Amino acid sequence: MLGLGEYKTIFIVVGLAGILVLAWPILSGFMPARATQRFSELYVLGPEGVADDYPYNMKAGEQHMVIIGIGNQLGSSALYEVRVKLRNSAEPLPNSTTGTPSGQVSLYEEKAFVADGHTMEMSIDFSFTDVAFDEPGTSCRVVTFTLNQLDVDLNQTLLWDAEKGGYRGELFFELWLYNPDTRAFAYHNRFVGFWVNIISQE
Amino acid sequence: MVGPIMNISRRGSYRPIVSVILVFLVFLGPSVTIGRVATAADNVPEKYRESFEAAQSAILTGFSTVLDAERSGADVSLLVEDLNTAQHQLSGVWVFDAVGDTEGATLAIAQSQLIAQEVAAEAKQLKATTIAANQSRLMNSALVMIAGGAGLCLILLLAWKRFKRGYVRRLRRSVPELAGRN
Repeated sequence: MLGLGEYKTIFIVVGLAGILVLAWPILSGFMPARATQRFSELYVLGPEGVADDYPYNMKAGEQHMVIIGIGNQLGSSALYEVRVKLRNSAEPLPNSTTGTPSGQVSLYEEKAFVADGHTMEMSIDFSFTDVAFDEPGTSCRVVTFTLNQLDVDLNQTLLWDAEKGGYRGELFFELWLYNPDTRAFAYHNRFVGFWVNIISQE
Repeated sequence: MVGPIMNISRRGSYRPIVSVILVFLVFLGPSVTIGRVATAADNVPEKYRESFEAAQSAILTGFSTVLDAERSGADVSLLVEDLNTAQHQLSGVWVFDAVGDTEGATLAIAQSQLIAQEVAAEAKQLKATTIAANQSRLMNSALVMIAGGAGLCLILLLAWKRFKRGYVRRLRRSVPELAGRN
């Protein structure tokens, strides 16, 4: 049998535990938030909304569509900017190690506000509107590129890839994040892209 | 036109006008030619530049206000959708201008700014409401803690006295020599 002093201790412990439970709603407000990983997602889907059937072989003037998705897990709402760029196989991609964007000129920019924990998807319609085959077998020149009904004067050269047999270029999308303190966008070290192959009309 | 953003908000009185403009843009038909960086702010035609910048600034101010409200604990997901609507409207300027629809472009900018200002106002209100609700919840929690704590202490005290009496009685019964003592 326990002594009276030990029973007294049990009563005190029960009382303190009860007070702690009652005080929890207040105490929880002063607790530091659980450390969670903060990140953003950037993905590209084919026209059916799945990671398949990406447009590849393209004739001048043919309309194609992809879906760009942005996921925000940063812990607060964010303003993103997707910059669309085109490069040939000799031009560099963004550098993930140094976190620097590609030096290619941005063809198109789309801003998107995404609430924390939410995902935003936007469709990008595009076509290689005007393509010149000045030097067949060496390179072709994308004169005009159309993105979401806006034509962009481009004059981008795509080199002939003998191994894969085509004039190949990579259409890629960089993710930039708005910093409310500096009121400027900074490259967010995320990019996705896919290769396209320009084929002549014949 | 810019790609349709797939979770556009459905609130607010400006929605019918927004819908008409979006439908017009979707069915615009032939594309329009502009220079590189199709939708960059520095590519805005001179005649719209001032109002465009004012609308863009209103959107960014609205966003800062929304972030403020979010920091206070408010659910701002609907306001974020509204900001997207405002940004989407503003992006229509290039297309309207390229087809020579000055009125459409001006309306798009004005609508965009209006939505952004409404968002900022709503965010401020939401922040105030959330702070008031948080204070009220904190006050209620404090009252529950004080009253509940006092009640719990009282109950435990009474229970302890009762238990102690019973304990002593049992002890006296089990040890007869103590029965006569107080």
